[in-house]
Amino acid sequence: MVQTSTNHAQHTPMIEEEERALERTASPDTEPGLQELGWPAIGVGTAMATWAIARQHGLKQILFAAAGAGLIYTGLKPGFDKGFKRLLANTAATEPVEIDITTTIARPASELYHMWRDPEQIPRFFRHIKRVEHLGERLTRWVAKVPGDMELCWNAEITEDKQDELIAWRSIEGSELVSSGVVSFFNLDDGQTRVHLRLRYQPPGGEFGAAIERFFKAIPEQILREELRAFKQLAEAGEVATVRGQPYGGTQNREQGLSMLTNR
Amino acid sequence: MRALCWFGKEDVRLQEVPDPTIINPHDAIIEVNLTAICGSDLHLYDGYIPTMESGDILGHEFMGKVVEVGPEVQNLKVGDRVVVPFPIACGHCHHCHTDEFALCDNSNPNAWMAERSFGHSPAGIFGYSHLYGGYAGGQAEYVRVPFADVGPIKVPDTLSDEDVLFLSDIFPTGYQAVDVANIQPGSTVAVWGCGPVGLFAIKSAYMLGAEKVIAIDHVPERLAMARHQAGAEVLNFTDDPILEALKEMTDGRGPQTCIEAVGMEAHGTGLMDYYDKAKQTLRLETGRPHALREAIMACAKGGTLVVPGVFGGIIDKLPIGAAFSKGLTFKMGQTHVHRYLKPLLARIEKNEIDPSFLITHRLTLEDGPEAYKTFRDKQDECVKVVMRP
Ligand SMILES: [Zn+2]
Ligand SMILES: [Zn+2]
Repeated sequence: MVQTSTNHAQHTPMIEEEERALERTASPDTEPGLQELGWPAIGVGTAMATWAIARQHGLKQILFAAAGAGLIYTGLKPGFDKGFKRLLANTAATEPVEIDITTTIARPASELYHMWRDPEQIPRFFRHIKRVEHLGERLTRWVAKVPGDMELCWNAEITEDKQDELIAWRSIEGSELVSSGVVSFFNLDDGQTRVHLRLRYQPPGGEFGAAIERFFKAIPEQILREELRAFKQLAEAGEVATVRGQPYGGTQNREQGLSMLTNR
Repeated sequence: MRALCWFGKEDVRLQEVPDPTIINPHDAIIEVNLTAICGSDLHLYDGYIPTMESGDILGHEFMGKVVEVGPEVQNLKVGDRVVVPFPIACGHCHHCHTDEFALCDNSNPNAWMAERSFGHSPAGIFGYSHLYGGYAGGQAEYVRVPFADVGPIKVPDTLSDEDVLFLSDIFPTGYQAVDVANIQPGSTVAVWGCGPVGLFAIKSAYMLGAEKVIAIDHVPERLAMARHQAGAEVLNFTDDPILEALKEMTDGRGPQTCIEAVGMEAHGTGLMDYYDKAKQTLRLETGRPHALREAIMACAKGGTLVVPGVFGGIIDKLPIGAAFSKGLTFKMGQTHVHRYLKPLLARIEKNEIDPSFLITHRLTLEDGPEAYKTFRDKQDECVKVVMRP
């Protein structure tokens, strides 16, 4: 009889380095004013996109939350700018969220690193991002799609950049959400690459209540998992698998039914 | 175009639907020459596979002619005659690199759903529920084939549509069941279920060196086919006590390789069968594992049990103690069809096998809805239905 024990936390030097990189992104101002709110460069758009994605395609598990988001959106629409920024400003009472996702990709680390650093490529896998503008060596401006033909922008500063290995960033002034993140690319023995993404952000809360906070905590992770999957598919297979646009026997309830099931 | 669509339990209809178009750069559009109803389609027909949606186009066994290719397809051109494997594989992920095409990481658009159910997502499959990607199937005039450089294999003009159609699933599926068991020359193989996969497993077992193949079923015409077309010794489980008979026929040792080619809707006899039916009706378990239980009990010590039949969810009352105590090896899963296309096409070309031997019904798509019922009820001595759109 053999007792097996699982070595849960794989404590590699890489992970310690990620930890340090993430610590170094910490913003000095923990209670942001209106002007320097921030989410993680990716996390922001992710949450935003959720509104669109959840309403039109949907993950079964998040329909409830999505419906809530739809309501907020409707409420915010008339005074989007003012209302929304107030929502985002209201982070004081919320617990920060950390998202931690790992995947393995059968391409070299250097190739994946370059995909991640290429502003042209990013909207192909971060599908809620409209475009990424290059402002300087370490500065990018992100433009996300928001329902109702609106845009949401923020600036991200790269705080650490090790070629083919690791990129860390945080939001800076002129952004609308507080966030930071690190992605690392680690060559495995079998020629594959471990991609590890970690994000920290402060979900909005305050007057919008606990349900909203829960929504912003739960959804970005779902969406990010799908976007990291899209990244893997693009890197490995050169396209993202989809069935959108294929034929089916027509029924009125079909699209509604599919929205319960299909992601893409 | 016309297509067979699923609308619910025992409700398959021929519908007019839009033609498929190229969506991704590695897609091709195939004009279907010949398509078949698979035994596993009956699980959809009987409503045992979750995440089907009203209007889904059925069918994962088909072959035809390329009529359009996406901008990045390189190995195929318009006019090529091809057979298409039922699992969809990207050709570039870790599992595709190791020839485990049915485990492809990148072909299931609903991978998150499969991860909820299975922990990880298998490959997408044509016409086989949204859990497996929600891809439109090939029981239609046209079908969109993703990753067209990876799956479809070109077939020579010297072979007829019927000669090659079953490369899409049941021939490789029967063959893989024996191949993964790694049988030794002179060994005995027992096959539960003499449907199309079972029949191909029997033929494949002889191809790969089995001394004796024993086939188990209860449908007379299928047993006759197993005996006369495939050369198996047969047992009818309504007449013979299977465990004793198998022991008798293997000098007391039991078959070294047991292949369960029945799947989640196995028929049995006795109390346990009523128990399973009742539970399955209540959806407490999703399979009726009668044949699986029997195969575990029958298998020789140190033997291998292969499960090519489809299981979708949860079953219970499995004699896992027997499997453990006898040191059995389990092999299971969807077929890595791509792996077998070339070698099996070569066997067909060399006349080592005529895969069309089991076709009993040659029909059109219009006959499809009726054919599902005929096949499910095993009426009219139905073993395999092929349809020409
Ligand atoms: Zn099949
Ligand atoms: Zn693959």
